[in-house]
Amino acid sequence: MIRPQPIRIIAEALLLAGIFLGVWFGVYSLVPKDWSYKPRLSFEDEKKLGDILIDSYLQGEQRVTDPEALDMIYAMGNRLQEQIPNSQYNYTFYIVKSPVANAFTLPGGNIVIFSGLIELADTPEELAGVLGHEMGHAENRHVVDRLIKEFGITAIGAIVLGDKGGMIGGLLQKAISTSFDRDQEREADDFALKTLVSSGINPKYFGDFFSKLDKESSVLENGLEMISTHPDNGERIAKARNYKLPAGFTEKPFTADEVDLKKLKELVQ
Amino acid sequence: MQAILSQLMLTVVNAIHFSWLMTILFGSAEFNGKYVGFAAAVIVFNLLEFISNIVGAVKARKGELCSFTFVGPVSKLVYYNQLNKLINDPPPAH
Repeated sequence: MIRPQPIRIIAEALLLAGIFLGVWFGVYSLVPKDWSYKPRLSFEDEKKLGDILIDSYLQGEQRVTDPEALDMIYAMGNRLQEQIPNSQYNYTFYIVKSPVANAFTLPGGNIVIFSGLIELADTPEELAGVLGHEMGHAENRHVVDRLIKEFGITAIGAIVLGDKGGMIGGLLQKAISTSFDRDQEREADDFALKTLVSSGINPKYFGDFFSKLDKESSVLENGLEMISTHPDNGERIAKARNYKLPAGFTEKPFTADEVDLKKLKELVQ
Repeated sequence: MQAILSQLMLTVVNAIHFSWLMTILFGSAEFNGKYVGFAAAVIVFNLLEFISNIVGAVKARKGELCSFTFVGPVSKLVYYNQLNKLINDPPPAH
């Protein structure tokens, strides 16, 4: 019996590896470069998940349920939503009593605004800017994507189908506590600025409000979450203030009938 | 021997494919061209191995020798070393 030559073994190993790589990269080259598919929740399932999370969150919080206060928030939110014709969300706004200046988005178009944020605003347009930013996170599906990344589509799907398995707490914690990455913040800012302009709101209010939050954060000790979790504050203020308004832009301030900020501040105290 | 070795090789490739798929389904990875290409290569190799094994088995029943690429020479080398040892080693002491 002739001993097989190692060179032949190596040559055939290389041949097999070559065929494998050839098939791999051959098929890869046939797939469009920018094609990718990420398992995502359907909007219906996201709504169900959002309902579960918001119910769980509100159990431990003191809500402001005054219809007049909510009407004012909805007046701002609806003005913005009218400018998002393809939106899959029917936004629901919640006001929570808290001295912390913060707002956040939960899946399914649920937006929570803290009373501390309302108290810091000087104009309704400033608050509308924050709502626009949160809507930007929702429209770009930042929260639900982050939850899927953290927990996996299967676990999230099981929760939507009713198998809660004690995961809701962890899921909620992740949804409200983790900051977004810089690209996601920029994406939400860009969305807010565009929507504000198309709603007749000057984006400078957005910059003004964040500038105010920036200054207040160095004085107050109550934790300005909106600032601490949002990077590059200087950049976003400059972008909002220098935003190029389209020709013929007409500002449409909120009337006192729509939003009476002084009264809103009293109602949320 | 060839069938076992080819299965061993495929086990490694299939394990990589499986873990990649799990990362997509339960982790942060996404379906993209790289994954599709890899999955295609894994499927092609699994099919080739399956067909080769059937062809090899049929030939073996007829008494014909069939050598697969790479695993054929490796099997021969393993067999050669065993045979060599059997012939050259002194008989066990009683």
